[in-house]
Amino acid sequence: MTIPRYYEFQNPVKINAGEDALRTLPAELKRLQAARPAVITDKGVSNAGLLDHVLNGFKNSDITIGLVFDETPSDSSVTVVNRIADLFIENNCDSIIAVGGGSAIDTAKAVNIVVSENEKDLRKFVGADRLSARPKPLIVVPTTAGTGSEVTLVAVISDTEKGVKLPFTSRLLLPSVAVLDPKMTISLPPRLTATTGMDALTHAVEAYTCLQKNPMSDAFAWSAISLISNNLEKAVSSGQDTSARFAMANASLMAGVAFSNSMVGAVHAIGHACGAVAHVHHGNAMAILLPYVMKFNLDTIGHLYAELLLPLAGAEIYANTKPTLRARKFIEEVLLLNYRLSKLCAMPVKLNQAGVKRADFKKIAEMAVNDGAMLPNPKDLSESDVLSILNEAY
Amino acid sequence: MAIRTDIEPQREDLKYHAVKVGFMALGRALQSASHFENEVIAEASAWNEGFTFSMDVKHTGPSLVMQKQGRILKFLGNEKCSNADLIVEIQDLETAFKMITTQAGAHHVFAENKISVIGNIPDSMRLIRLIYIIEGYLFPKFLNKNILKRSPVMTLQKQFNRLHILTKGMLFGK
Ligand SMILES: [Fe+2]
Repeated sequence: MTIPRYYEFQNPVKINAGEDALRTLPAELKRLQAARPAVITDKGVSNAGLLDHVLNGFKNSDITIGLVFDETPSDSSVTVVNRIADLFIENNCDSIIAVGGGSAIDTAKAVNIVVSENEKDLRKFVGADRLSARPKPLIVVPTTAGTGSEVTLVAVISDTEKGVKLPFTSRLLLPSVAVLDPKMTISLPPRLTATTGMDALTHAVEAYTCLQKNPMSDAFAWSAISLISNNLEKAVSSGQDTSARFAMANASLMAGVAFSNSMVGAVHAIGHACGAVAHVHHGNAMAILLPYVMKFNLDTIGHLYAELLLPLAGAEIYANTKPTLRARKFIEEVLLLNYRLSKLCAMPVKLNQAGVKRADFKKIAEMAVNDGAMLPNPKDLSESDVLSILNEAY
Repeated sequence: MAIRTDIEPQREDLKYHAVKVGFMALGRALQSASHFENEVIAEASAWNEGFTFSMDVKHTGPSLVMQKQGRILKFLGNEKCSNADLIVEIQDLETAFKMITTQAGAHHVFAENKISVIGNIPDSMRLIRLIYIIEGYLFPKFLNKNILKRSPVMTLQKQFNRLHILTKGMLFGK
């Protein structure tokens, strides 16, 4: 392992994980000197009864929930954020509990910007490091296992008026606590379990192989891959398997810590563009593109893919594969994983199955080379490189 | 050791001037290339008339300020422009010095969290590609391979371009 000549790493998020972790919510709020939290979630969570689990965590405590908002849409917007911020203030809330997947968590982070900076126009804070006010305590309870948002410093919110996505990054967006309770991811449907799991795998692989990698992020990425390899298929095929579900929640969080510090690469750059142009679900875009982007990167970072064969395929396969063939074997193992997942839950493994048209390619390629995630990718990609990857993945 | 108080930060004037000369060379070369280099023309065409970017070294300066004027990217000098459309801040003089002396490429500096961007991401990606193109001309392969992910293939046309940029470009920005 080579250590970069300089790197930075930070993960200040406290992690409360395991059986009845939700019961720690009142104590955590007290520790953070908060007494009236606002719960931000979505209809899926409340209909599945998951919100009740959270509220039950407050039984016999002296904390009053100031507000429950369960109308967060799957693609959250500035309007929604401002509406929740108004309710937060009207109801004298002093902290936020986000319960849900990427959208609810990103919405909660953005609400935190509005109520802490005391400024309604979110656009003023778009970009990196534009925040200055001390944020309200934010506790995150993820109900999907993939985005890693519970430990990342990013939020993305749609500006529906202008039809663009607004990215916010700041250390001040980092949650105070992430609560992983095995009962919270149990109801995630098989397909979503598979695609969000592949998103987590992609976070770990890109974190381990891209330019900002460092010994700390490597450790998180490595363990995440090992957990995903042993548990993703189980979580997809038998959703009630709490130990597989809990392992995936841990893997997703660890991959989140890894990529939050070492960034992602070309899979994400092209995936973001597929999402924007052809509305491909993020996790599904990751699953489809990961093997083909790795094939492209092979001559530059093959030695790192070779190392990852061990956590992905296990000691026996690793030892029985010639060192010069391990990188290719790793890519093959990811492809095989995709096909097995596809058998289990009909997850698309090619772009044409995911609704992408060849006519979209040009636009996707143009957008992808302008995506910030291209920068940490160790190998340069031109538009024509992206086009050939898209062709292969079609 | 004696007790000392009010220790003012030292200045590295030599490095400052080296970076300033480096920025001027980069600025003139980019201005020159924007007249005739196809990739530069294609990248710059995405920017509207008057689009300005300012690449600043935090605290000390200098800056590299350029503006789209007609088809040309015009080098405006080394004074920071705080209302530019795109501001790229290099964290310190040492980092900027490493960049202009081919010890670190833009992607390395990003990886070390030593650059921050105010403006939109596609514009900053475009600026980085422009800088890569110019560095490919300014530095021979044995140097540019340290700072570019992919060294350009020097076709005959590119050899001519390089000659043009290193002579007329450096002197007059034409
Ligand atoms: Fe992702």
